[in-house]
Amino acid sequence: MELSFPKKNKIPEKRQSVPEQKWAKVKRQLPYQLMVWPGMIFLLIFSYIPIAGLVIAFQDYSLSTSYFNNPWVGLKHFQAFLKDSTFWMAFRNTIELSLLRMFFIFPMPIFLALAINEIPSLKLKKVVQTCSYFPHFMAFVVVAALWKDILSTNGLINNLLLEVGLIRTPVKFWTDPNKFKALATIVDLWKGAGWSAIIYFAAITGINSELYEAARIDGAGRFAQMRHITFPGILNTIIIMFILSIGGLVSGNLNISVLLGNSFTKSQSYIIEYYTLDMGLGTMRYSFATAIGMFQSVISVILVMLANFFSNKYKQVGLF
Amino acid sequence: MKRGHRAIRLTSEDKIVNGLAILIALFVLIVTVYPIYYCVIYAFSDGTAAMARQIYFFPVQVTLSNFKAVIEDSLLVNSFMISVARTVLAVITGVSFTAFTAYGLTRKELAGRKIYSMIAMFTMYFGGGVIPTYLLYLKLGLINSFAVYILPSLLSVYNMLLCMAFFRDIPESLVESAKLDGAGEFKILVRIIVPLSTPILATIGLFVGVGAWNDWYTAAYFVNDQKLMPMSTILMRLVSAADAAQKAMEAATTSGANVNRSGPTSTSIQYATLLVSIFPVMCVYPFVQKYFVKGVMVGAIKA
Repeated sequence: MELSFPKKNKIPEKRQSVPEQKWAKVKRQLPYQLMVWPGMIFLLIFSYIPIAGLVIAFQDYSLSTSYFNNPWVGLKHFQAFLKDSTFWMAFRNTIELSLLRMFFIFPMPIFLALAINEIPSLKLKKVVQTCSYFPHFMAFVVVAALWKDILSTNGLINNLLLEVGLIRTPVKFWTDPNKFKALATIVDLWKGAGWSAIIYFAAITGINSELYEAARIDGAGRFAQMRHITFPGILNTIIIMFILSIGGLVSGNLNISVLLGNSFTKSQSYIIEYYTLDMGLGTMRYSFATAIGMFQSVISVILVMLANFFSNKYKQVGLF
Repeated sequence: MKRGHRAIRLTSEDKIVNGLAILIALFVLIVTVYPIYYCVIYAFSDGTAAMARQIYFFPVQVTLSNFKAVIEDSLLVNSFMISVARTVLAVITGVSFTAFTAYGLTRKELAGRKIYSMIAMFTMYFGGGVIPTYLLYLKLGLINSFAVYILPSLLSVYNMLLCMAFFRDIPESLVESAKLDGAGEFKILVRIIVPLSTPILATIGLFVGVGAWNDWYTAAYFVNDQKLMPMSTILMRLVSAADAAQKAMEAATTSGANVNRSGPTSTSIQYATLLVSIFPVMCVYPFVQKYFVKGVMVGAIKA
């Protein structure tokens, strides 16, 4: 052991240029470090301090103190919200809306991409794509206002149905709790389906066109090509997107809940995020609300990791 | 994508597929465009007349009175200005800050690249949530200030990853030769990297801009001052206030009280407001559209 020490010390003496080389290396990368540090400081402040702030979930936090000077209360707040029936109502709504998103909204962009890809006219294809992306760029507030009025009791759809004679009295779309989830899902679909298809268009563009040539020579029709080339070609993307959506199972869309929901439909539209805001910013129960948020994000992370683990195991595609 | 099936005679299967695809395309077009078109014709119609008789394809008694009502509402005009200001500032600061960080992270000379990337990636999967964020803003003095619209959106990790995917494709030789010519790092970034990266910068600029323009949430929960309210938050309050019961009452009073049967209603003014708020996005959209398709696809293929 002792013998090895002097040897190590000798190395820099022998090659005198090493410190200079090191200095040159430091100097060479200094501009890049200076470029990256502001971003890292930003993340430390705006992302990591709130993560550290999660400790207040285990405390009785009051505004006048800092994060760490509060009485520790263990899992009190977690036990409290798990006993609250409003939490479970919000939890059930969140999960149900997510399941609708995963099994009803999720396949639509895939279907859309496959269909639009088959349009024979390039011009029509471009027009459809351009138009279908647009609602994504509209504010949810605007989309909600538009659909709330179109589906209101004296709005476009009701008037049309009355004129055609399909109904005698206007349908109460937005004040009927039983219709809320279906309607919210449709509005969400209208806003996002076109844009979500863009990733599948990208995947289709990446498919080797020789595969289609070969298939045609083998006598494959358009449906066969779609089934055996296009669909398998985008399957990896589909699986990755599905994995990503699993992580969102316990996250709701606050836009839907706040902008489309109202006091009539609360039993169906109230979600965990809304509950967190009401508890935290509404009634100032900061520690209680932080506990709810933490519960939610921990479940999300576990879900993402599980989904990725299984997909790695069986399909050889992973996120990390 | 040209597959050349038009050169060959169309089989009956081809015809079926083409027909179905066109039908679906037309359906998508109508479903997407009609509600927006309806918004336009309603905004240009006389409110009372539109309420008396349902409009479908054309405006009734074309008028600008709804827009006049919007312009005369000082709260709405002020909120429009706030929206414009926060959007322009957020785009300029957000895009440059994000691109700057992304460029640094793609350089191979940078020691600790892996650690920096992990620090950034982690925040995509886990966060502190709304309450600790609110408390942080409170301590930083961001609550009830204009800065809350700008500072927290300086860096988006997702946009940064899109940028990085794009920067990696820029040939290293360009940077090397500029260095030999004695150009400094910042000069290289501004003179070589930025001009080559227009598609991705326009894309993230659009994302940041649309995000800022459409964001109702920040002002609704972190700002009280009426003078700082952006248009989307004002709209959100308008919409929540006008719930079903109120609308029914209003319908009854307008049809009874208005003898001359014309003039804007709250619905027609709302449509005009919606149109005013979509308008800037509509103006920018066609110009940026060609970029974002390219930009997003690069990111999608890399991711």
